[in-house]
Amino acid sequence: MTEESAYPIQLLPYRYKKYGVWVLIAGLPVVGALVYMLVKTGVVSDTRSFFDAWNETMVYYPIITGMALLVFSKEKQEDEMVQHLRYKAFVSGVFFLVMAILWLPVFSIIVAAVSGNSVKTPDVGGMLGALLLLLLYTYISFKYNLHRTRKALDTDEE
Amino acid sequence: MKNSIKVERAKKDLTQEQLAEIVGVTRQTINAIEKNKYLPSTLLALKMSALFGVTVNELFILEEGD
Repeated sequence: MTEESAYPIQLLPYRYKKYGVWVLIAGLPVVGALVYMLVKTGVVSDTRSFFDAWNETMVYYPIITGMALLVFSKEKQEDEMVQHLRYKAFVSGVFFLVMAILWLPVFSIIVAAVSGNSVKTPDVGGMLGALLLLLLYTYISFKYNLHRTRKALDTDEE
Repeated sequence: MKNSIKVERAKKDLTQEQLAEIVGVTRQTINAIEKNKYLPSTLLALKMSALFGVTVNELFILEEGD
């Protein structure tokens, strides 16, 4: 019996965790320095509109890249219990994400109403799109693999 | 489900660390299995039963409600 058949999910090697930490630590300063250079050299002229358009991207890209490297790399000592715990963390993480994003507009309206501010729905369009993609991929991937496995087992029936 | 891994391990005079190394998992995983906090895969259960020279049924015992 091969290790691959027992552990079908492929992850990055452990060393990528260190890269993830480095991206988290150095990512923002590096992006900041890069933008500073672009502004200084005149590549970016209208800084106000540039920052309006790229602000969130510049902040989130290094953080998400670093976190992705941390999440999708193996532990130093990786075994089946670690994989089981990771699976549980993924399931609860996705569930929490779905709940948080679905309730965000409601929560936002309640906070605005309580604090006396004008009530307006937050811009969650992008987040809802990403969430839908994640759920669609998860569902289709799971159903495809389930179908493929069952089909293979049906033909192998004795 | 209860198991007799701790007993079988003692019979073989193995530490959790040694057993973990032989079957290819971490000491923490062996500890979790012994304390019924983690149910091992069939592969791991078979490896341990082969090592201890007992059947999987002797190593892992179903309880009422399982």
